[in-house]
Amino acid sequence: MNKSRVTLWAACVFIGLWLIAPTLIVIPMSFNEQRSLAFPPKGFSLRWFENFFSDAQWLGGFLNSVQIALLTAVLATVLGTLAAYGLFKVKGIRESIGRNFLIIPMIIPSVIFGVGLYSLFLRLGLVGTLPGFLIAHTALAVPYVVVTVGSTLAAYNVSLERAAWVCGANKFRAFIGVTVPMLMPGILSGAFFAFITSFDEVVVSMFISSPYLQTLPVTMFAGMQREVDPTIAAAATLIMITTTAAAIGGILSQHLKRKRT
Amino acid sequence: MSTQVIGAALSLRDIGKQFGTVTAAADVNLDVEPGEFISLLGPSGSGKTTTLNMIAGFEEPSGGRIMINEKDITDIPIHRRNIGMVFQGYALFPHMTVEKNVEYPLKQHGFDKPERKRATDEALAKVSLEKYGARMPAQLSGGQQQRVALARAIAYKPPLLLMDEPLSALDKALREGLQTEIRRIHRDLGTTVVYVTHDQDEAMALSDRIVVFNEGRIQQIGTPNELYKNPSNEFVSQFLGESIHLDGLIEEQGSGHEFVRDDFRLPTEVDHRGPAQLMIRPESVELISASSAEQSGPTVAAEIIDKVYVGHSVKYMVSCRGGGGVVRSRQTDVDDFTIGQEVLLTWEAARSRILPLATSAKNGEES
Repeated sequence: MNKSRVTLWAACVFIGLWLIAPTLIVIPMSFNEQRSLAFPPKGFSLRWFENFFSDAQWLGGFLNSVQIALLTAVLATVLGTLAAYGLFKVKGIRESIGRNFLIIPMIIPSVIFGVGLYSLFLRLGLVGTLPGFLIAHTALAVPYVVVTVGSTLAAYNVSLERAAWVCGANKFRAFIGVTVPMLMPGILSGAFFAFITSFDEVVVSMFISSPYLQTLPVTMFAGMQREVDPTIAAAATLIMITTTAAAIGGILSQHLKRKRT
Repeated sequence: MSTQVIGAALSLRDIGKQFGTVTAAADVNLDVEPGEFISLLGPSGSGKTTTLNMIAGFEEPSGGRIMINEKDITDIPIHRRNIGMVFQGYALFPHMTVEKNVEYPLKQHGFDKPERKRATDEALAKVSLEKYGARMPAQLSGGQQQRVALARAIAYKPPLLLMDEPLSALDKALREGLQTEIRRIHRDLGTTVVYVTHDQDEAMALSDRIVVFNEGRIQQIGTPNELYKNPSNEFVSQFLGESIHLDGLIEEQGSGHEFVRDDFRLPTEVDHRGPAQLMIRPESVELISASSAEQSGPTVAAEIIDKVYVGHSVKYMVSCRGGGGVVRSRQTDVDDFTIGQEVLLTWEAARSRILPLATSAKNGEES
């Protein structure tokens, strides 16, 4: 190995660590024996995980998060797929206006989105409710589905759909029977990203949550301001495991298609 | 036992398609007989595919009507037009087995399960792929995939079968094999076929009649023989088969007309004055050495610019003042000419054809 290759590898390792070290540090801290968030941790124990699963506040937040994220993933995937397909069918200025419009929730600062939503939800009585969370999180997650399904559609051979029509399938049956299976890699990966978007969303969720309905990141944030509780590290570790698993699922599903064709 | 289909009669009445300012097809009028095999032939962008897409329903005509068996289908959605179609890139459903692909149209048309099974097996047998039902399309070669596509298109025995350059992705040997298969299936089934191709040999080999397209318009409709022997204009004569063409003028001569060049003049029936072109097919032209004295018909001095051996014959590319083209002579002929040699072209006047050249420029339309 020559010198420039060594330098290249060293640079890669450094950048890699820089990106993930803050995330990885949380794992050893969640096994800390002492009641402190100081690094490095001292000793080993599972007491913070035990605490997490026995405390109604923590466990409830976790279960809320899972429920909201799963439902958001379903809603955002259905809506985002239909939106991406619609954009694929129109061309020119209408397509670019539509696409940019759908990406808006991805771009505007969460704080602004959260404040706006809060005042609206107050009027409609949606603050601290499951429908409220679903509406908010779906809006935030749809852009990811539009993007992943859109990129699968860009490689979609439209004569497959035409072939289905000619075979006697109406537009709906051709879409369900031929187009959707072809787009499955994009749809699945969009679903995973929609799940992640909802699962670790904190800013908007803080605005629309109530003491009765909180998601896990909101519980963590509130806990952090009250006291130094290493249970937060255990919660962070659990969030990390869940989102990493979902992200791996998202990446794998994008590769589904290569095997098939 | 396979039953014959009653082929559909297809009529296109003044069909046109405008994409913004671009005319993709205009004034397309065509009557296809039940059971006929008709090819739409032309270079890319000539309007043949646009016309096929309008018959299928993928494109809506900007004007005109499409009739199947006297019934206006212009506004009927694709899935209720009862057509079969074979696509250029096969368009097999990659997530379904060969069997499921072929069964798909039967399912959509509401056939019951035993009937679907029977028709699927029959269609696969027709293309000799009965052992491949359980495979996925990606596990088959290009030629096999196109045969599955053919089986899918004929499975429910549509009265009208559309084919969009189905063989263009295959190599020459496979193409010829499949041509034979398509001809046989058409004969067996009796369905009406509309076949799009840019390959004149393919159109000649398969079709009862050929429709020649150029720049969005039909140039001529006729049997392969009619088109080859009696092209109605310069484009058709040059697009279909090789030829020698010579530029000249048609002038009035007494009560009739004459095609005039400074090396010969020929009486003609063509009632036209102005620039014209004389066309002779390669097999009707004879090459003789410039010194030869035996001249029965018209002669034109020419130079051999290239020479290609093609098995049984030799192909000479010749050029002369105001013209040129291809001449074929049999390998057995004693005369053998070399590149650069001065020769004379001679032919029987009755075997040549005189075509008036369009004097008006194109109408600024692109296709």
